[in-house]
Amino acid sequence: MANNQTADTFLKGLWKENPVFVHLLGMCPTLAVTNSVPNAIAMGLASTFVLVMSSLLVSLLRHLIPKQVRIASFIMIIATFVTVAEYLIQAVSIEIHKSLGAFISLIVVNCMILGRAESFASKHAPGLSMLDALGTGLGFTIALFCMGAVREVIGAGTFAGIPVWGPHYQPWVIMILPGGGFFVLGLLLLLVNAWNERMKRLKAQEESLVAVEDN
Amino acid sequence: MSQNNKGSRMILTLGLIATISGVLIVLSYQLTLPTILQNKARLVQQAALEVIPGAVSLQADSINNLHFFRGLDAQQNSVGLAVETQGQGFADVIRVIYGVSLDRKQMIGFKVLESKETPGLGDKIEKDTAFLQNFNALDLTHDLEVVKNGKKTHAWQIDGITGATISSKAVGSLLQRSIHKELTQIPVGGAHGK
Repeated sequence: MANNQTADTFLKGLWKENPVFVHLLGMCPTLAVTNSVPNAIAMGLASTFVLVMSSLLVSLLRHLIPKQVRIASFIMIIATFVTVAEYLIQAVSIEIHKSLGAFISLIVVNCMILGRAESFASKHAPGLSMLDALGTGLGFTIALFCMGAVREVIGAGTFAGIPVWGPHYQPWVIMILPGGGFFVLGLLLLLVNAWNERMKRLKAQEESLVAVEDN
Repeated sequence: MSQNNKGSRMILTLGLIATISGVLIVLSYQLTLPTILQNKARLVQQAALEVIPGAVSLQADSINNLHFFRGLDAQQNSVGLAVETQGQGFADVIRVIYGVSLDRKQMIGFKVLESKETPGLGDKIEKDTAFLQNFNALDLTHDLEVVKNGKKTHAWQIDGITGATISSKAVGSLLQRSIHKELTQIPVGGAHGK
């Protein structure tokens, strides 16, 4: 029972409560830095790092922070880890830092991070909070990766820089531009929602069959 | 009285978090500083090679505390200089490196190293091919002038970017200042490291 709850805390961030496809949080980086796979993964991992560390610290301090200053405290903590993440990114790959540019600093205002801090980390133990943050962050990274893969393959003809289609491919450049970001996001949301609807329908059918059988 | 308690608790908590933040930031800054400086130096060297067409290797040099690069071809002859400079842009400081021909009469290359200009507008100074082309053969014998996009008539003029006037003009003035204050310190002539 406890194990199920723990597993669920982690897994829900990946699909059922995916921050991008279900909660529609963090739209700004989702649209802005998914024009290539390395950018998308780097942004996803950076956000996950900030999310996990902030959730941890918020959870550790949750009994100390008075309600009236909780938003200010959360923001301070998140901003700190974004600064740390920025230094780490510069040290690991200064090229990625250049291509992500201003959007690393914008991780501070990614609603997903403040949202998890306010709704989960401030009310649960550090271990559980870190799991929740990890699941949400990975869900975010996966969503960004899907966006990045589609946009780069169609919009530039490459996957992480490796040409995919061959020399005669005419890239559909709009896919790398902001317009393309909206198109791809809309399509992915359509697919995710269609799948979820189908699953719900199948489950409802199954349950009504079971009910008939019981009767 | 309980109001005071609440107030002081808030102040204490915020103070504690601020202290933790400070420690974390300073620690990570100090730990990553050597690596970051190395990475930045590598980027500058790569850029220096790019802004001196024909250069295959670099020779770092300095004069009066001004650091610059000589670009050398395969025969170790100097084919140009690269000077790093910076100046205030629209948002923050813009760091650039530019290449100059041996006789100092022409700018032969330009690259933005660091800028915090507005994404989509000012940051075009980094990528807009038409803007960057201005610097492939920029006449340095005359004062530089940034003109409206499309109005360039002389080789010392720079076609500005529509929608990024301030950033374009900032680039023009920081280059102008560097050419007159920094480039002039480097003596002309110089094959074989002289």
